[in-house]
Amino acid sequence: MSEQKALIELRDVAKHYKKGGEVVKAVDGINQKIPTTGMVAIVGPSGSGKSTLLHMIGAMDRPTRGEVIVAGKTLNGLPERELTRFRRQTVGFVFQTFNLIPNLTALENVMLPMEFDHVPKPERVRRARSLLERLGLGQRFKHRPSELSGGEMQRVAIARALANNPPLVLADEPTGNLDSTAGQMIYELLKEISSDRTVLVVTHAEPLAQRADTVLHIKDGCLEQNG
Amino acid sequence: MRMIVLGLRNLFRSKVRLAVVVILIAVPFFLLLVMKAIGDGIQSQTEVLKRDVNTLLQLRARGSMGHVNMVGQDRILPQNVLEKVRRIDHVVQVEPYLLAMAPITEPNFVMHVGLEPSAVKRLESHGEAGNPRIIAGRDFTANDRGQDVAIIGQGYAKWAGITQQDIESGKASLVVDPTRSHPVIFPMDRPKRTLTIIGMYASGYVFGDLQLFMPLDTFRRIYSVNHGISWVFVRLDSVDNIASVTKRLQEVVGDVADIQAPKGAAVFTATTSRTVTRLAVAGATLAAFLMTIVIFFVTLMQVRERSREIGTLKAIGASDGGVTVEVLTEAVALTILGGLVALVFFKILGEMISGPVFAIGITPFLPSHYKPLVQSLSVSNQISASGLGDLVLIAFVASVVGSAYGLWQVVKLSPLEAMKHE
Repeated sequence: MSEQKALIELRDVAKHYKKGGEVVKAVDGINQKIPTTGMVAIVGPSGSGKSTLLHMIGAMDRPTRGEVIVAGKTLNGLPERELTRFRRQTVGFVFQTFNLIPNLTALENVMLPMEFDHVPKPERVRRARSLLERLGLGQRFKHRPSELSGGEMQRVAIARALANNPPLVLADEPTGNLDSTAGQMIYELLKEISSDRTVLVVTHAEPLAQRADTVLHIKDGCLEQNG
Repeated sequence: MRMIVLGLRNLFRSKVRLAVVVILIAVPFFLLLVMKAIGDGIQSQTEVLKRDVNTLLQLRARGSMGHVNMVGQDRILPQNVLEKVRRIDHVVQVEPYLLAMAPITEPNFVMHVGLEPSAVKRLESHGEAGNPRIIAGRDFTANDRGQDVAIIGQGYAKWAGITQQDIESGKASLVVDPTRSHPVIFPMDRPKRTLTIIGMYASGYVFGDLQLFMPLDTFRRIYSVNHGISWVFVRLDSVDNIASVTKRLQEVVGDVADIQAPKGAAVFTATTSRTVTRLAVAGATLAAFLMTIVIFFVTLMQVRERSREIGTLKAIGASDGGVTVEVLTEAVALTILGGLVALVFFKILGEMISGPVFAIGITPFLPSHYKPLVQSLSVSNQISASGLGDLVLIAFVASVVGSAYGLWQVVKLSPLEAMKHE
């Protein structure tokens, strides 16, 4: 992995916080490089620190120690405004609970990150339609989230994550709320989109993780081994 | 732009909640409109009064009150005074009055006033600027000249047992008996006369409501006053000419007349107006405060309920400013909707409800002699463009101030924290 050009570089990354007077080491000194393409699964038991690590890579949380470098940017020192721009242009998020905006249609949900990035409307519409069609949702443009199945909602969420064509997609338990068939389909999609970008997936599901190009096992905030 | 649209679309997520919140905002907004209308009504009443009184002079017979049956005060002005006064420069209107007193049980006596049907109905003691509001029946017309008709004050009518319904149905009448006396009223050997009461007025003043207006010719017939005038009201073209006209009046009729500038009414009403305006402003402030509180809780509830969504928006690239605009848009739009609903209700109910609001909300704080104002105040449901501008400004400020804490919570939320909230 280290031989390839790295999109993500973690240098002694730690996240400690206090809970009830005790210091909890959610992530504790992780060093890792992740390449520019391919699917990487982070697996580990609950509370092992895998989501915390994902959030730090996605600029949603700051490390207590160490450096998180993504696409050449050291996130630690960036001001909030720059972090917002980073999340908009460099990262696409896929959440376990889909997190679609309930009063927007599928198409509008996918267009939203592009609007934040000031993409002109005709281009927004074209790209959003194209993404939804690519993900098999060509008949669901005008549907609101409440009118979609779990699998469809997660596919809309993936389309939204890809809207600004980011080099990195972060997926936090993306199949956690789906049945096995839908989960399998989402995994296949994530695998497919990782051909030209990095897809970092946090999951409990070991069988699904095994389909990733790289598996990172994390326990008590530390990486155990590389797969 | 998208965040503004999102904010607007958020309004319609739950129609029931939208309705409840809009009504909650509309209620204080409606009160605000009512308070403003009351304030405007009083302001305009005062302005008219001041303008009228300040260009007005009153003439009475020298050293006399000029009441035709008042002991020691019955000397009246000679008839030719009218012609002399009319010829003076800057005099634009001359209105003759004849006055007599009539004894009643408490509060002792009332005033009978003869005047031209088109003349301003000025009131004893406090309402010289006159023309109290007709609350039942009708006003005089030119056809009433010489007829046995009268318009009665609500206080006098109450004593005489005359109701508004009696007047509306044409059954109201009053017997004028010049032979009745009182320690300050001497009897006149004249027959009784029955007058048809065609209208009832309310002045806002206790003494002002104890008068009976009748055509001048009718008065002359009843009291047998063929010549002479009790009072003459002289209106000038400008307040700037008061001094010169007063001087001229003294030259022309000074030997028979006292010349007075009846500014007491304006002073009294201005004082009352100040008191009432202050209370109306206090009421309006309270209404704006209530509106702010409603918006405060609504915004806070939105932020708490939608923290996951706010976190998601931030995670996919929305700036703090963008999310703030979304929430603020919703708050402002809710306030505007509440304002519009309040405006519609005000248009429909404003005139009707302002009186009771005035009676319940303001009258208890006024000294007792101001309370008849509740009857006399004319409140309009019209709102001027500038008034509307003021209200929009108040609504905008209320929505910004009310939502400030909620907006601060929005800015403070990190995307991660926001998504942890359920």
